[in-house]
Amino acid sequence: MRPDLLEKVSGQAEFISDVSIDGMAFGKIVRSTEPHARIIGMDISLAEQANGVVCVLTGDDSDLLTQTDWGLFYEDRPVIARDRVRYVGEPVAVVVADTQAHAEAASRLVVVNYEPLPICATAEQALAGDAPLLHEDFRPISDFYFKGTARGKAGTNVFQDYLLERGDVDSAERSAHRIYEHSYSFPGIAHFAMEPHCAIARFDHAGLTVWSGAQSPTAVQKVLARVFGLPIARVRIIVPYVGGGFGGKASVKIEPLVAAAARKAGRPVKVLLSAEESMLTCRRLASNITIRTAIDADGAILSRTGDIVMDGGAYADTGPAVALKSAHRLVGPYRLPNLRIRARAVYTNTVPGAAFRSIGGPQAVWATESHMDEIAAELGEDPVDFRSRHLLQRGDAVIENLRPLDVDPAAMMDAAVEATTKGHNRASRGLALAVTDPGILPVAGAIVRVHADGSVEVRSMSVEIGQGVRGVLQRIVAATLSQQPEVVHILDPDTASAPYDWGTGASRSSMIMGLAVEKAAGDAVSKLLALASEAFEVETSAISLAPGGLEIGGRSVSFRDLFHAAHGIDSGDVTGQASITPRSLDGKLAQAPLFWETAAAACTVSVDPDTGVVALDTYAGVADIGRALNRSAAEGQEEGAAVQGLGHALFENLVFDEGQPMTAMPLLYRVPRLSDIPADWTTVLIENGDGLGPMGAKGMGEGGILGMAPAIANALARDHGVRLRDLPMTPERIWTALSSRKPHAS
Amino acid sequence: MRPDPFTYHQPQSLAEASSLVAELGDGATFYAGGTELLLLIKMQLAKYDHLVNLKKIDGLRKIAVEHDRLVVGALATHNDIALNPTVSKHCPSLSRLCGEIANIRVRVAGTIGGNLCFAEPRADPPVLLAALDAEMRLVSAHASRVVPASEFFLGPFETAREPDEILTTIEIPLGTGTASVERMKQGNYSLATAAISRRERHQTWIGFGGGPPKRLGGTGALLDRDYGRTSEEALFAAVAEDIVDLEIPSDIEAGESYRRHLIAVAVKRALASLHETEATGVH
Amino acid sequence: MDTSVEISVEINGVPVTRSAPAEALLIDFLRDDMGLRSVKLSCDMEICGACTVLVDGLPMSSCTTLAADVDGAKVTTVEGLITDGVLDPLQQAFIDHGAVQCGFCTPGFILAAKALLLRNPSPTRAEIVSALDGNICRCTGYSKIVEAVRHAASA
Repeated sequence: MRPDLLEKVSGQAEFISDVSIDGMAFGKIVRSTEPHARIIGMDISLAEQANGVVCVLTGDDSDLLTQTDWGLFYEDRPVIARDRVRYVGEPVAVVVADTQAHAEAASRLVVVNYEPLPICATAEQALAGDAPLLHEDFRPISDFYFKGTARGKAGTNVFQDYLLERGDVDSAERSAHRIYEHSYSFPGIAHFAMEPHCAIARFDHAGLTVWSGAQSPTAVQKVLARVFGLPIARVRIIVPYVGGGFGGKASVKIEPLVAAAARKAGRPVKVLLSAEESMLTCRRLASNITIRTAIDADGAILSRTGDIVMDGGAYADTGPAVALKSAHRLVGPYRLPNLRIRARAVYTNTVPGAAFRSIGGPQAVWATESHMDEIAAELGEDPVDFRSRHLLQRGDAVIENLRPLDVDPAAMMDAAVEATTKGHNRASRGLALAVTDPGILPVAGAIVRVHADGSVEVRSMSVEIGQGVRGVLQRIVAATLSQQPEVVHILDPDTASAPYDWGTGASRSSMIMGLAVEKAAGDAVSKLLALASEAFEVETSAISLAPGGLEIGGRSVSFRDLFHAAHGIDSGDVTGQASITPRSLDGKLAQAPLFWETAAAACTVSVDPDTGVVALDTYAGVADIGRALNRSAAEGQEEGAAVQGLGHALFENLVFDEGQPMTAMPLLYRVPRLSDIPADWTTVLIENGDGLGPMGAKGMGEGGILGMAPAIANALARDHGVRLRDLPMTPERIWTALSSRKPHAS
Repeated sequence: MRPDPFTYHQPQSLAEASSLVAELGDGATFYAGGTELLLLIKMQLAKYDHLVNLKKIDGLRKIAVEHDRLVVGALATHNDIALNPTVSKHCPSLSRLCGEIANIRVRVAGTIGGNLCFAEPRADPPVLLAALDAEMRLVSAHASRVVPASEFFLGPFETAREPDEILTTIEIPLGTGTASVERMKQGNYSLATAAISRRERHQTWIGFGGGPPKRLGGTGALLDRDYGRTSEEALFAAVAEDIVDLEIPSDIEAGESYRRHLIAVAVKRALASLHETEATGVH
Repeated sequence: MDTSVEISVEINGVPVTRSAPAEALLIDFLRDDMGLRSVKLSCDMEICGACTVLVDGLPMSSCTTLAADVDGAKVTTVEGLITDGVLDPLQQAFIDHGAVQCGFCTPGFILAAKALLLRNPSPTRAEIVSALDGNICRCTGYSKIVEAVRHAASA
């Protein structure tokens, strides 16, 4: 059983928003109401005099900071706006007070005067030659969080321009029989984690301690060390349970601002965002993708080009990686002899883009899988057959220099088709496939400590965000130590006691941290055997671990007995420690990706012709995960991801009108609800034990989000005669498409 | 979000409550379920120094049949109405509608009176109550009057109620006949609502999110003439004609032409559900 | 201006009398004054159900309910569903069927389901959907939540 579940159903689980620190004050952020403006004046005097107010942090407090701007690819983001704002929602002040209510009330007394600047409301505007610039200077940083450097162009708004190319597309297109080109749009999407962003910061003699709902605590630690000029050893990050993240709490978000407020206040400060504020903090990058495929006379694909333009919002965050991955994820599990995909990400005066479950994946797969069906329809061929003729096989290269494909896409497609065949004809089904290369850095460490009473503590920076990582680590450590899972305790991630880990995301924790704790537990086993060998003067070959202790030549010895014999008192511990690096497993982890995260999705839908409302009738999702380390949790990852994909497909849309967010509020932002979910839902996990992770596991958790939108669009096209190319596929859009189709049908 | 401080009054009688609001003036308002008012106060969209709670006044939550009228106390919650056997017997369309409003928590806390007095233009109950010829009883410290639902709603968030008047009951004449209501809801609010009652004459009312419920005279006349034989084309044409001059909202939730279409669909479905009710004899 | 009100309420079976500001929200009263942290603040506008508590057996959004309004009532949170250390069948079913991921929506879902089972011990799938449609879960995809409630109902 997952150790977190009992705490969660009984109300005992402590989330970051539940954490309280002695002497803590509360911060409320004042946010820009302008998409792009100079701050020409700010009056905080009323707020400063209000009930309970401790202080007001503004852009004038730069002297508190060693480094005033931070970022992951560019140092482009001020800790707090100084003289300029670049999006509606950008923090311009933090009012700190003795209670949340006082902070909220006083925050309304801050008066800011803006002088509006011309804006880039959309990516198209940002790309125009005469577009106003959001950032005049580019200060790129390399290998900081993701490997590599963003290829932006200073003097433009383009902060990433990535090209993926193979073969000779131009000659392929010249020799083509037919060329098909379509464009697809994908909106900004809110993460909508149930727990909004929250952090607590405290400066004291030991340095800076931050409690945060962070997915990447070590990235937060690194950025805070720079911003405040502290050694990493003096910046401590603690992460309790996190109420959902989906990438929205990855990299670094509100922590530098909260820490700055604490430094000014001279006491601990907690900032808990509202759900609305979280929607103004980050979002998935919106995209427009034009995709073109050349076909020969036999209907074989000769080449593909893709032009991806992503709206990255006001600050780059991890947008450069999102754009790069979207190019990779546009390829699909297909033989494409010639390929040219360009992916650009641009600054706009909107909420900053950021990582979101399968970065760049849903945007790319929406385009590429819709396009595959459109070509099949033009060729008059069944989409399953058209795909089959081009499918890669296990061992084929998806992208040169990356790991060969480690799954069988045909088997996945068949499983999805099979699961949705009952009661439906083949023609009515919508299908989508995807392969993605998770951006995993195989760097992680863990400590496994065995105590005299037989209890085991595991220290790792993997964050329990709902995926069940604590259950997985517990299982692996228990198995390696031959102990009952109940004696294994997974501690809250704390940089003061756990080794470095890259972060919780990109489907990596079960695999990478799983390997790290397995190795650390193995190290503990070696040390226990050595200790026992010394203490009892027997060969280590005669000693093995057993629940509660050891077996030595058929005799049971408890851990307490062991330490008693070894130390003279029945106290002590053994600490196993290990790191995973790209050189681990004889270098098998050096090649990216560590596994291909793949998806096959199939569905049937019905449409209300009067209203355009779509109902998902059946859905099947297939994932090749190597080995399920916790079946129920693994299914849950697939299902939850697919339902987020359903939100992308049908409902969700962070709309900006001239930079003003129009739907960034829970009441106006429709996420999937229970009544949207069909009873006929199948989740297929393919387990061949062929992953590099513990017990043959591959990573998982993101693939399920990829196929839903194109599968629904393809079902709509096949069964209802309408092709939608813009998400979300709202009833109004579908009704409009149905209406314009009617004259031809009759 | 937290409300700014206010004083909370808990009067025991209608007269006391009404007098309190009259005395305290603009800074005071009545408070019932709070599902809408508290939200506005939390969001700083409304500011009151005094809330006068009506929930401690006896008798305002009663539901009963009196003199051929279904009398619903204004403090009855949506959930009370949805589960009340008297309502489901005499006015099943109201039962069903109240069982579908928002979510279970809002239905448990929110009152029918609060819903009507708030006059959210996207709310559904006003549309049905107009079609049912319901009457609103308004009581102040000094007077009592009855306003037909059709005259109660003046515009978005605006009713005929005076600040010190308390809506005490909603009274629905029973007589013979049937009624139905259908709504077109995709997000958290209805895009269109239609209610049809079939008594001596047909009444068709719609809600469209931009103003008070609107009676569709031409559509009603069409039903008087052709009930049971109306073609979809004729019905859609009649509705379109009835709403041609109506200012229909157009926003990110839905554009005008789609909304106009949904109004017609709502009417069509309300009519279909009326037919079904009559065919099955389940009223 | 003295805006405080006296509140007498039974919380998870224990009678409590407290004075609180009139404008105090039930969620803050339960979390801050009573230490019941299972009551979660999420949307803060009555649409997500994370702050659901039972008031006299009925589910309410504690984020948009005044503490003053539960005067005289019985309030239940998930902490109160545990009797003598034994979980309510719903709590156990949520564990057994993997109906929990991040866990932030979980107390609200369990209480909404509890309210359903109190008045309808063996609901159909459609009845479960209707009762829980006002609670949002961003993690699980809902299928396992329905499974859990069905099993708890038949247990």
